Amino acid sequence: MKTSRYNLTLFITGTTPRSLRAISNVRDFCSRELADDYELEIVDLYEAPERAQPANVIVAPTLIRHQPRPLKLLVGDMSETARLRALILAP
Amino acid sequence: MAADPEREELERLRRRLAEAEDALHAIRTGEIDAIVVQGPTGPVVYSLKTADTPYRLLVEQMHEGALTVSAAGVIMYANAAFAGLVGMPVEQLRGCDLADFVADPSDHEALRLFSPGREIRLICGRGRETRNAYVSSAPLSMDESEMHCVIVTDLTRQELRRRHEAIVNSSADAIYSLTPDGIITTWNRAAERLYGYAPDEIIGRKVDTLFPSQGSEPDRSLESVLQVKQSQLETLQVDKRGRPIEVAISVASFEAAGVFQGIAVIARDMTERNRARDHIRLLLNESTHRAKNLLAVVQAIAGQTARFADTLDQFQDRFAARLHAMALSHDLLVSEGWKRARLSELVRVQLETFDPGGRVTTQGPDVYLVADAAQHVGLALHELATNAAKYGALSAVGGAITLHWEIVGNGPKVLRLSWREREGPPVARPSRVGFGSTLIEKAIEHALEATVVTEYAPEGFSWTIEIPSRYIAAAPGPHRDNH
Repeated sequence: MKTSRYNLTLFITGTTPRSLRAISNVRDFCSRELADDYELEIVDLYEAPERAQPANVIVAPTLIRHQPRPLKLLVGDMSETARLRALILAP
Repeated sequence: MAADPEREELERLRRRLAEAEDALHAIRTGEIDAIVVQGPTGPVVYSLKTADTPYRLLVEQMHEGALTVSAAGVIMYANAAFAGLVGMPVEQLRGCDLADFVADPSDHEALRLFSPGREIRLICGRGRETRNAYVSSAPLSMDESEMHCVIVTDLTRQELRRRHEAIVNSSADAIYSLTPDGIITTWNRAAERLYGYAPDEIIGRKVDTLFPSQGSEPDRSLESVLQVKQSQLETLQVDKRGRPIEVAISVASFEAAGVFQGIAVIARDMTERNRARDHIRLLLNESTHRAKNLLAVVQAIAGQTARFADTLDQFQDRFAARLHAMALSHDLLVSEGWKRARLSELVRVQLETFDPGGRVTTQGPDVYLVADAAQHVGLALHELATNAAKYGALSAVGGAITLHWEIVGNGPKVLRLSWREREGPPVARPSRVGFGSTLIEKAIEHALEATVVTEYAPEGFSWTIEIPSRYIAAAPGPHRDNH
């Protein structure tokens, strides 16, 4: 089984406009810049609040890059592509 | 080699610091929806502004007053509807005691108990005016403090609406309203009576349904209604069964905050009024025509009576008697709206003065004559009775008359009416032809296209007339027509 190079988790809360924007922005970026070489998990904190603490998440929306290392974290609706690029692509 | 792990640690801490600063910045600038906090029973997600915005908007927009009140009865939050109801700005309401707005002190305790629902009098505005309101409350658990959520419904407004609905529903005119594009939204009882549609059959349909379809051509009145071109118009609509109805329509647009919301239509059934108007016109024409005829008949009777009268007194007596006979027939016709006269009644009114002793026997089916025939037959009966009283059966003791009528004929039906005298003085043909005999023979024959046979037989005078069936009128219906 092939392991993807990029491993990401997006934490959101329900269907708020900002959550929906964050999902759409991250998906767009990944399909455009990462080809198929990524895994993206979306976690709704209303449904799974227990997922927040282990991941060090205190606000939503938050995007976490688990792989490649080091682990990095970005907060907001992910509309600033430059910051998204820095989070995901920069070492 | 020890420097590298330190540098790495430093780098990691810098990054964490940058991320924490990012998160703080995002919280400060409102870029996030929720904060996750570790509660005693596990992680809890606290929604921030945007998450509860829909609920907040809902509460702000609702027509009912909505409040959150502390256990002590202090208003913590009030919506615009409640502020409007009590006539105070929202900001000033926070911190006020809810009891200050309740007119009757006996209701204060009930408020504190937060009963499930109760009608109270609410103090509104600076004038201390009071209004009926329905108040209900429910406990609201917020953190450790006990709060209540209170809903206040303005019954005055509901009462007004009920009153308006009652007025609209009791109106004799059809009242309905339309959306700007012509969808029917309300429908009163008179509309149901006028058009035949129950509210659930017509609400939601286009108002075009009520106008006659003209193929692809849009109905001009319909256009006029939808564009509120005219405030008043008379037009033709159709009811549920497709029957045309003449209506007078009043059209008005209604607005809310300057925006066109719809059209109110009031329709009055003009079918009856127009029918009455047409009938009056017809009657006017008819009565003019009849008055002319009548004058001609009176003139003829006067001329003929004068011709055969020997003295002025004789003329006066006979002329008056004949006019009276005409008047009797007229009275009968007037009571039937100039449409018909019952033959048995006509016979009765014409003969009763000549026959106090009941020597005239009448027999025949219930038949009605049209106006023309009634006038002529009435006058003929008057002449026959006058002659009988002067020279015939009614002039002698023991004399009698049989008046008998029936409808006969194998082909075209005729009304046969026969007058038969018996036991009178000896019968002889009059030596000269008077007006009376002219009238019962020639005049009536001519006027009604009738056949008249008179016989001066030794046993008694007889007169038989056959009148074509078109002079027979239909019997009045169960609802007598009074026009």
